This record gives sequence, structure tokens and C-alpha cells, in this order.
Amino acid sequence: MTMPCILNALNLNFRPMKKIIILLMVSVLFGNNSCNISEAESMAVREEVKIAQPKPDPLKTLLASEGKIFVNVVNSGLCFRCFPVFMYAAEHFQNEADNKNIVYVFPSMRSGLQADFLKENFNLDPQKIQAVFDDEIYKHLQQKYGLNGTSDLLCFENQQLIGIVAYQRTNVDEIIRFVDNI
Amino acid sequence: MKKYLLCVLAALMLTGCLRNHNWLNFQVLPDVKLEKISSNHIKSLPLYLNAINDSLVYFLNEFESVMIWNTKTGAHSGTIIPLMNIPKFLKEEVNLSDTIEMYDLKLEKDPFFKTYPNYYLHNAFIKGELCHLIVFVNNPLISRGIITIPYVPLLISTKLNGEVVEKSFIKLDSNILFTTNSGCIFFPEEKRLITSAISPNFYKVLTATLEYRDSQYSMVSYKKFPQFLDSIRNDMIKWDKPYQLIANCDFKMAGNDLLFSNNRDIYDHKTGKVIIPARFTPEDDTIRFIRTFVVIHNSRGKPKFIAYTESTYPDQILEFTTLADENNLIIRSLKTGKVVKKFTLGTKISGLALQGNQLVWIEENDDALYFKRIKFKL
Repeated sequence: MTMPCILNALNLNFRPMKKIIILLMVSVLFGNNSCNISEAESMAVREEVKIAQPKPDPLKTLLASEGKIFVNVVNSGLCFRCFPVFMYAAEHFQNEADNKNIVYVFPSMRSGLQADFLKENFNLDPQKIQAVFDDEIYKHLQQKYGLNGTSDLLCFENQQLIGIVAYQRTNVDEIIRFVDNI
Repeated sequence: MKKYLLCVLAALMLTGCLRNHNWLNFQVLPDVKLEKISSNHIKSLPLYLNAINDSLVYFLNEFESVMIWNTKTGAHSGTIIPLMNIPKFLKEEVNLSDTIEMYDLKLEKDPFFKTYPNYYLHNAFIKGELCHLIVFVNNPLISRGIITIPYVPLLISTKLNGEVVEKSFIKLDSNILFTTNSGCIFFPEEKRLITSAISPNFYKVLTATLEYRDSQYSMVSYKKFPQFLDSIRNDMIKWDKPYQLIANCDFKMAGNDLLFSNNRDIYDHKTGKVIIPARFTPEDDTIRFIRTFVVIHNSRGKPKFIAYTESTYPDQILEFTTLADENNLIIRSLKTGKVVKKFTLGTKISGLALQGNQLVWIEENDDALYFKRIKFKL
């Protein structure tokens, strides 16, 4: 509602000078507010259009070694269904599968927490395993191979995916067979 | 002259009303880096962050302790761990059956058993000089693999130094199950708590109200929320695991009404209706889930605005989402439902707290944690 409308509604007839003073006062009072709904709403609705730029493949370094590479893509919040399978499989890989090239990929984590995280959650010795904590690599693997946020064991050869098994839909024996026989 | 004064007064009142109802002024305050502490790190960003006063906030550190931090200086101001021997307490006070007998961790050769806590702090509420903790005790024999189901829930009240003042059992009911990450709200004066739960067949989603009766907390009522099973998009992932949707519930009061989020939408507890839904935008195939929220009241205690964090996931719905592409802080008017302000946040954020007249949360950036603060004026 504008000031002239308010004045009309109040049926007041001031002299022009007084009218101007009131208008000024009210506009100052209204002007103090930095944000109103309509402006903010339009700001919120306006979504930025992002144009995707070609990026270097984040897996290039990870999969650079020759031979088969097993990549354990691990959601840090493993559910109770995957957790025991993953834990026993990880224990097996750490102790009995030395000749296999196994890399663990987790989402990013502060450097001071990584060793404790591996030890406390999965009983993994950071000195004995290869672990990568990187959001970009983790997300790339999740999206490229449609993992839907699950924890999976992927096998690559010459940078090509040759096998995949989801912890949620398997058991420890199958995981071990997958690594030994693929 | 009288008319002139009346007119000015009317204009002032009108401005005041508009300001009260629809406007908020915002000021982004400088980031405060959290100091590094040699031991007892913040292990993960907490989902629930709560204010004690204008300087201090508290949160659970991975179910192990309650941490208190100063948001103005970034200093660690204390850690609360209940000073009680829980295994001894259980042996003396709980009639354990053979299957749930307390297990001596020292006998176990597997190091996993030694490091796994046999109890965890489920929720914490600090009010005045007391910290009220909901503690769940797990049987380590069961907890190996199946992590979630507690067999002895307790409500322990401690002083801020951890000294135990009072402890009460929470009676388990065959109709409900508490799970890890169930949200909860506790009213210490009324000795009443409301928590999210599931029915044992995993297909009914509940909130349960428990009250202190006959020296323990017992369930007095529960409410079903079948609309949790609704999909916001027909071709979205089939919700065949509805129990996942009630994890991480966040309960907050809005005046006399109770609101809660289930890590996806915000609900009115009384009516069971969705107040603010998760959003799917087909244009960019993006889904936005609501995480935590706070309610901003005016000086007369009337709820005026709701501020919440919304996480964006692109391309597909992830069944077990951990990483958001984008997080936003959105402030809406409760009266009109319209967005008042939107801020883009970092990709790794904690829950949201209302600390006096500022919104506070923690963001992880590279290898450091920061308190982010936005001051507002009604």
C-alpha cells in the first residue's frame, strides 16, 4: 500500500509540504528493511544454469597401474547389511591377498581422522592398505557405474571395468571368489 | 496537528507490523575456525547442533561424548562423558537373560570387540546446569554386524562435569523399536520425551511419546505416519525400506506445536501433514532433501519463520546418500510459506542451531572446521 493510498484511506487533507514530510518519513522507515518476500522469492527461484566443462578423468591416476586393480568404493555410513560382509572381506584382503592390487576409495575426510577411521571402523591398518579419501573420485565412481550410493567392489583391467559386486547383495565367500577368480 | 500525529503513528504501526511479519534483516558474520584439539577430535559433522547460550553450542561426538564449543572464539569448552561404570550398573540393576548377558570385552581376542563401544549416547539435551542423556546399551555379541538394536535404554542426567545426578530406565515396548539415529525431543520439566521409532515388522513408521511413570520411562502413546511411504516422484527409487526414512529425525517446537523433519520433509506432528516437502525438479533432474531446521520466534514467543538446510542431489536418487552436491540454507515465513532468504552453503555441513538471534552451523573446508554464523533481526 503506497502512502497516497494510506492518506486517501484515512481521508486526510494535509497541505502539500506536510504531505511530503510524511511521505519522506514513511519511505525512510520502509527503506530500512533490506529484504522483502517478493525479491527474496524471485532470488530463490532463480536457479543458476551451470554449463558443464570437460574435466580430466579423475580415475586416470588411480587406475594407472598395469594388471588388474580392485577398487573398493566404500560408503562411510555402511548399513548393517553390508557392514559384516565388508569387514570380513577387508580382513581377508589385508591378511591373505597381498598379491592383489586393492585400493579403497572413501569420501573425503580430514587428514587427522583417516587412520583412526580405518582402524576403529574397519580394523584396517593404514600402513598395509591403499586408501584414497577423495569426494571427486568417490562421486565419479558412484555416478559413472550407477552404484546408487552403495558400497561395491569393482575390478578394472587396462582402465576398463571388467567386474563389479555390491556388498549389499552378496556374502563374504562370493567376494573372495570374485577377487580370486576374475 | 492531532491528525498529523495520528497519521505518523498509523504509518509507524503499519511499518512495525510489516517488519514483524514479513521482514528479516541478515548479516553474515565472519567465520570462526574451530581450534584443533590433540585428542578427542570431532569425528564427523554433527547432525544435531544445539545452543546453550549466546556463546556456546553442544553436540554429540559420534555417540561417544557431548562436546561444548564456543562459536565466538572457536574454542573447545568442555566434553561431557557420564561418569558411571555402565557394565557394573547393568550387572547390579538389570536382570539379564542368557542371550543378552553382559560380555567381558577383555576376553575377546578380536580387536574389533575391544574398540567397539558397548553403549552409545543416543541424544543429549543441556538445560541449565544439567545434561540429560539418552544412552543405549548394546550387547557386543549382537552388535557385531547388527549395530542398531539396543537392549537397555537409559535416561541419565549429569552435571556438566559428567557427575551422574539421576538415572532411569526406558522401558522397551514390544510394539516399537528404537534405532540408531532416531531423533528425539526431551522435556525435562515434564519428564516426557518424544522419539521416532519403527514397529518390529519394519513397515510402520512411528513417533512414540514416553513419560516417567513408576520410576521409569514408558510409552504412553504412539502415532503412525503412513505418508512417509509416499513417493515424491513416481519413478523414484521404490521405497521398500521405509525404516530408513525415519532415521535422523529432528524435532523442534514452533510455539506450542511440535514439528519434525525425517531428513527429507518437515512435518507437523499434530496433524501429520507435510509442511515443507522435499523437492524434485524435473528440469535439472535434481532432488532436494531437507536436513535440519530451526524455528524463529518473535519477542512474544510466536513462531514466525522456519530456517532449514536443504541438500541437493543430482541425476539420480541415491539409496544411501552421503554426499550432497550443494547445500542451501533457506528461510521461509511460516505465515505465507514464502521464501524470505536463501544462502548457499558448503558441501559438508553440520545441523543448524539457533543461538539467540543468529543461525549457526559448522562447515568442513579442506582440513579445517569453521563455525558459520548469520545474524538476523526481526
